[in-house]
Amino acid sequence: MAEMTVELVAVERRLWSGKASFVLARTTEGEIGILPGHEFTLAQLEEAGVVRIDPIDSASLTVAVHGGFLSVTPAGVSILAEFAELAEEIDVSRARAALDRADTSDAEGAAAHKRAEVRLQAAESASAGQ
Amino acid sequence: MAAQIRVLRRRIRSTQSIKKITRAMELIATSRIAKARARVDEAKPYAEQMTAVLTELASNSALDHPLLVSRENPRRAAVLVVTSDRGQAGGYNANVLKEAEQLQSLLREQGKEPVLYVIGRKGVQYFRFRKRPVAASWTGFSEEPRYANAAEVARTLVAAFMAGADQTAEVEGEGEVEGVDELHLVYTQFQNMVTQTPQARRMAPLEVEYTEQDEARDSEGPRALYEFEPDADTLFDALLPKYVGARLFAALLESAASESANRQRAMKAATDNANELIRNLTLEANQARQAQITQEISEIVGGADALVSSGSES
Repeated sequence: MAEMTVELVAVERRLWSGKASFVLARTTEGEIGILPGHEFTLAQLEEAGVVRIDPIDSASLTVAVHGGFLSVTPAGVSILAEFAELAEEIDVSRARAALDRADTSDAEGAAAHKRAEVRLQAAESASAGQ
Repeated sequence: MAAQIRVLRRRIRSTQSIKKITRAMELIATSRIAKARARVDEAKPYAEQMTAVLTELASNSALDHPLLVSRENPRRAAVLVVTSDRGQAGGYNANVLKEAEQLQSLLREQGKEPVLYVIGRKGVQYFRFRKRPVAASWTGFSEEPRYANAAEVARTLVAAFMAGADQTAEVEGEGEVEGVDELHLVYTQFQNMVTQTPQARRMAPLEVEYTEQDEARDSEGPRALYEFEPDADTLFDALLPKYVGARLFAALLESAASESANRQRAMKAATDNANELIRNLTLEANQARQAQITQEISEIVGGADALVSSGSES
């Protein structure tokens, strides 16, 4: 199977890097799926969104990505994020509490609400996939 | 005589307990340096990728973003000073504040009015004591900064910069901030364990560090055509403030590492001094005790002699 190098880096640390066969992300324009040999692309990801990576040698990874960018070159795919969490790292009960606590009346609260929602979504889709 | 010994013993005891504290602080600082340096390294991949992406974008976009263009008549310049929350770090805060003062007088010479932004409780105290106005300050994270802290500071500064002098900008949670034409950053660069130097840098207008492979690739033929989602200019607009945030975060991490290194050195010196003091005081106390014993013996002998001589008379 064809493969490509994928790097997932957040500002504070490198979350994951390795060989993968498929990456699924959602940009501000719409969903994008990347297979090996994809053309050069630079994209801004949704402010808070879920990214799926299918590594060649293990089960697919689901990541909650906040404020991210995606760049595709022949050298590989890199996902840059301000914050990112692997699905298995997400504390579901805390995310749920954050979701309940978030006050959607102002912009900051709405953003917090959206972030919590995405984290839950990532955690759920990961557990559903197993 | 007995009183002198008691005073000396008390001083030895108190010096010993001070030594325990400084020694503990030295050990804590040592472990924090290692942690802080690891975090500096962990933040590097992001910065590298960011630079690579910006390099690609720069060749595909008109470089007219306000963050990149110098203003014609800059009149107000923001100065962000990164200091520590706690003292006991040797010359760390004094050095960085001195650098900040130099930068401010330089800006004044150039006809720009410096506007102060401060990170860290020590810097806030310094400027408050001198009754100098501070536009905004953030405290409580100097030893272990998170990206969220850097992002918050960057948001305020970028908003102030985008507004420009004589304008005000609305920032969430901060209220109104007055606009500026330039952003400067004063922080402490961590060169190695023994050398940390205060540095003044201009953050905006930005000088993006491009990677140096462009020319080589240009000569190889036509450049790769990128697909942008959304278009290149919008992407550039979204990326640049994040680049400022990432640069600021890197500076905060280096400052944290420098702070711990300075504290470790200061506390090591304090522990050494305490040891020396204890040694000298112990010597002095022993001498005093010896003198007291000698005196007691001569008093007893003198008393016995007096008794003997008075007994022989009767």
